Amino acid sequence: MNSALLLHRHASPAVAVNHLLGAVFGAVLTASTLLLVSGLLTPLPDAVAAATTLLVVALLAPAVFRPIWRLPQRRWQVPRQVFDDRPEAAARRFAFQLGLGFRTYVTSPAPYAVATMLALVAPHGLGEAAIAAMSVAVTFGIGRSAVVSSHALFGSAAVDQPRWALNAASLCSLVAVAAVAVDALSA
Amino acid sequence: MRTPLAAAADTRALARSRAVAPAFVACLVAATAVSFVSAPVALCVAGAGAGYSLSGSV
Repeated sequence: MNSALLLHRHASPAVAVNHLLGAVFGAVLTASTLLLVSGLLTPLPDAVAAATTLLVVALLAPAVFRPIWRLPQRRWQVPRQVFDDRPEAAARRFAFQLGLGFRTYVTSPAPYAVATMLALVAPHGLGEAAIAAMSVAVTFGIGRSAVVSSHALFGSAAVDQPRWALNAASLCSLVAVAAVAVDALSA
Repeated sequence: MRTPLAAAADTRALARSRAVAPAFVACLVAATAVSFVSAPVALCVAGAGAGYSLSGSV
């Protein structure tokens, strides 16, 4: 059975909140790691870092519509045993794995572009870089959890998301990454 | 056997579910338009778009 359907059987506001928190915590952990990586890449000239990010976006954009690149990923599913726990704990643990962004299947090129952005064109000051990384992490968690949390919160039926919506979200993310890189290039 | 009332509730639940994608994408597109003038908005769109784009998988 689809994991989202397993959570849907126990739909409640508590499950929705725990799913959201799990996804955000997972994303914060990944973003914190990328923040450390960005610190190591600080010696790279700003123009080179921004141009590299723009190049990555350009290479990834066609992959939104069809998988032209074999992007590295773990191709793993969260095991069913996670759902043996209480529904709230199960939702949190399940979403944490999803929120990490690299532990399960990565079906969109957008996360690769976002990871490149965080590693290469994060602001220079530690405080500013941390705020930027946390902004990306929290919104990634919200986006990753939006479908399951909204279903759990409103008790609505679980449905597959249409391909056009997922592609549009990928494109928006890539455009936003390009905007951050252009901003870094012109700074 | 399902009652007409239960069937109507299911239809409403399905409609609510199907409204999530257009609503989320509409917000993202609107925010993307602002991305080139506001770096914080761009960061948020990048994160939210990437997160939602993975919603086709588990």
